[in-house]
Amino acid sequence: MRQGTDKADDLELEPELRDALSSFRQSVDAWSEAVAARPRTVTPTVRLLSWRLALGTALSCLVVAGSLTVVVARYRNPQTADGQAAPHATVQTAQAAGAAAQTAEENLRAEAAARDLVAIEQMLAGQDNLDEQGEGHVTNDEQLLAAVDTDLKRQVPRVMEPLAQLGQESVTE
Amino acid sequence: MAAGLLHPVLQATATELISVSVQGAVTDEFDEIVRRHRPHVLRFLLASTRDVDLAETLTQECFLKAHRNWGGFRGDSSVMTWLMRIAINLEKDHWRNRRVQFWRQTQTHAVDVDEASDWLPSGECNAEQRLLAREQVKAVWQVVEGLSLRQRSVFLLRFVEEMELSEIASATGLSEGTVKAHLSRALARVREQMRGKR
Repeated sequence: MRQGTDKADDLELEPELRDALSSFRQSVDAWSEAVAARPRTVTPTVRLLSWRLALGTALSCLVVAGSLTVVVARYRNPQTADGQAAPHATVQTAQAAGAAAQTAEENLRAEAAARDLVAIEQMLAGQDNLDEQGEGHVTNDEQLLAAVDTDLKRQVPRVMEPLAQLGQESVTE
Repeated sequence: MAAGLLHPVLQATATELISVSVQGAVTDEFDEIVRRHRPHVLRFLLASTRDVDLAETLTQECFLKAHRNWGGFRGDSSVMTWLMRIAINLEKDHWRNRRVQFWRQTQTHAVDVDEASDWLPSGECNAEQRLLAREQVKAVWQVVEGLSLRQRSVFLLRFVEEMELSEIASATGLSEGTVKAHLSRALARVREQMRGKR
């Protein structure tokens, strides 16, 4: 290595250019020395990394411990598990109640339909009886009318007697 | 003869002791090399990348690689030339890497020319000299920024590390004629830049 840039292997340098290159070299040298002498920042980075690592490990341990606790609690205390499953039971009970109500409603409908059928049968039977008793019914009517006539006869006021007599006479004639 | 008379256990112990002492000697030798050449390698990489972190990382990698291959160093060139060759190849590989290529486009920690020009030689006392020196340094930095990686390496090895043309040729793997051509072009651009500053 050669000292200085004035003998630059057949590269002729004018003084101004030589000064510029010398200043450049000294500038780079000063910068490089400052960089080499600057304090290193490796330790804080390592600390930061270790803090992050510790925090991440702690959070992971918490999550794992929580999961294990829940699993163990469910395994050891099934009632708690039932209690936790109460909402599910409530839903199932409600569904069962709904189904029972539906069944009862269907039963009621069936009973009502059966009752209707019986009533219809009874009505039909009654109609048959009425048809069978039709002639007797007519006689009853005549008797009833006759009774009514006699009643009317008895209740005719005396003022109307002449007219009644006229009627009887016309009938006899 | 004497070794043949030794007990096998003693022979093994002696071999281990020799190996350890050789390793210790090699370690001491390499420590001395690091102490002597690390500032040069760091300076070259810092000037080439203008990135403090990258320069330090590449310097570290350079000496790690040199330590691994120290047994294969035959002494054909000087240690400094050998180390510079490793540093140049590492920088080339760094920019060639596709992943880094992406970051090169989007994110760079390289300081700009103005900031790099703030580092001035300590010898300038008055304000006028400091201003002149700053303008000169800035002009050279602007030229260096526009050079290709190969041209920049040649320029910096010559005018910052003050290496001979033959050493630069050995470090870069170029012929001396090519090195000279690169230097001429770079100097012409510096001249042009300085004329433009006037």
